[in-house]
Amino acid sequence: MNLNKVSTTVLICLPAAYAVIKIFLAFEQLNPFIIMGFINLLFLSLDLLTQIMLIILLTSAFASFALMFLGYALPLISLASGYIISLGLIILAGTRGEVKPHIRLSAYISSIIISMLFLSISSSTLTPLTFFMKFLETLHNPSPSSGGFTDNIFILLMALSVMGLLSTIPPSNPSIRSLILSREAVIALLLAALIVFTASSLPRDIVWMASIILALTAPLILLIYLKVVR
Amino acid sequence: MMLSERIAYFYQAASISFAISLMLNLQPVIVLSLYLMIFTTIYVLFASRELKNISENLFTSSVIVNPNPSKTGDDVRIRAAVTSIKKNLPAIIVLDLEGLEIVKGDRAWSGLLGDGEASLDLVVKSGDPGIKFAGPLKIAVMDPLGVVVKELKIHPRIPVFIMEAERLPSHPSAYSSLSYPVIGLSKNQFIGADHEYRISQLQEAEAPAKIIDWRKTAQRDDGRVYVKLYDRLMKGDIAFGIGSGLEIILPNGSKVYSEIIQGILAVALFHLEEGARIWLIRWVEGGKTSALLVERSRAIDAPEIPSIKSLIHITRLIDERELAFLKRLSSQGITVKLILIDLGADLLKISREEWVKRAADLEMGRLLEKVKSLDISYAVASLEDFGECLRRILAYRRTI
Repeated sequence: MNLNKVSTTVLICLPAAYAVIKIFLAFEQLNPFIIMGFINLLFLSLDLLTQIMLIILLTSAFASFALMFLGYALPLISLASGYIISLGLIILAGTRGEVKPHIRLSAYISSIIISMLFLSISSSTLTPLTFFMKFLETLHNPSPSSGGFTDNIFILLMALSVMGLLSTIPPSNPSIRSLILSREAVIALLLAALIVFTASSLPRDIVWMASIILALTAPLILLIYLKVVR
Repeated sequence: MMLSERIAYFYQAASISFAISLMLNLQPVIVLSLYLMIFTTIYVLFASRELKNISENLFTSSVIVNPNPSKTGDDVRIRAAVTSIKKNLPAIIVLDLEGLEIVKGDRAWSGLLGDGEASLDLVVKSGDPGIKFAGPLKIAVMDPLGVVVKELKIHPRIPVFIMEAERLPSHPSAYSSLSYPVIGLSKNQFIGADHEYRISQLQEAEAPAKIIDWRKTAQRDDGRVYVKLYDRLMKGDIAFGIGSGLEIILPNGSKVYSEIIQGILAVALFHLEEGARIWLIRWVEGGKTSALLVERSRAIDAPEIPSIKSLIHITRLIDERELAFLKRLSSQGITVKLILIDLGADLLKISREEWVKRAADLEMGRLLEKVKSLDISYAVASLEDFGECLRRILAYRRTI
């Protein structure tokens, strides 16, 4: 993997990684099953130490099932929690070799949504069981907590990760360098940021209408312009 | 100009994310999707300015097909080369193939144009005889990020003549780079396309020096002047019509349409070599026609029937509307000569059974009945004799 590709992948993974750290910090006590579940799936999706990870995956799964039948359900719940926590990063790691930008975008947005769920859960102290319950609860009813979502670090990391995401657009040799070196791309990045920032700083009642108008106008302008230019 | 396919999908994905996140009230995703959509829109507005100036004139291209004509199942080499005046232009070059199957090579090239020649080297073949096509050669020029694409056709399609081995003309019909061209190949850049070399003979009466074309003719040997004689070639447009009822297969497996095309090609290839242009006007099911202009190095689709003086129309007169079409052509001042394909004669060669004889008689009767309603000169020929019939009509301009 070349440096450009690594840096692009790292940039894209920043918000998901931040959410994972936040969720780990929210745990009252981290047990080995959570970490094992998390590392197992993450390493497997990155194709790292595949053989060893498969052995650990099977062993931990059998062990936790055996313990559950003996009356200890916590290891199984912890293992499942570890798997769930790794979800946002796995989606991104699994699509890192994908060349189709719309698939990368879909994966990225899925990862952001999962990370947002984690961040909303991470506000309270967690145990494996409460994490599980809260995760299911947030999945069932996501809007109240995510509607008032404000985590400035997460937003900042998301802005950075968008750079990485956009640099995957080129058909060949994707790199952040090519994005930054393109004068048109830099102007478009800044202008788009300005427009979105201006729209989002509007009063709460108008911001929805403004974003809908913008979302409708952008493709309309694009279509008309491309028709006229042709 | 358009969005590249992948960016179009990317844009769609962003729009769908926007709509879903709006419904679920996921503010960061709303902002993100909106940002991506606006970024793409603004970028397209800026990046397309550069592409607006890109035109076909910036590229020089060539497509070489060898051998052409070729035999069915034989390898045909195609080389398409493109050079660009503008440097470092991200582009994808694609050569369309119609009726040809790729044996080796790739028909697409992608990379940066400008530093050298971009070329596609292909080996193709076709199992079916007829006129196949290589091209058009298309180029998709992109901005550096590959977001906006401008597609251009930089070379017209080239007819590739595929014939069965026994039908292939025996003399070479490809251009030769030799100093002394192969016999039968009259075309020479020095002499010109309009003259065909016949013989060098001793000059009987000394021609005044000022009327000798020294560039072409005069040659001195042992003090005597030899004069090269040339025949002026008869070149012009020849139009062939292919009518209804020919898309059938005989019990012995021969495809009537394919046989007709090969018969036309066997005659037309000589004319093409001498610079003539061939119109192929095909009667399509539904009463429409399609016209194709075939030259030695390109083929062009024509939107309507060209303004021609005469047409040799090969048909079985199955479609009633074809009669009205032929009458219309005659009324427009086009001299139409019909070659009616009598398949009864070919069927009789396969079987001599009584019912075949009856069917052959009925077919002949039907053809004659139909053609009587038209005031057009005609010839009736079996599939086997079609080539000879066509050759005679073209050579002697007479009705058989």
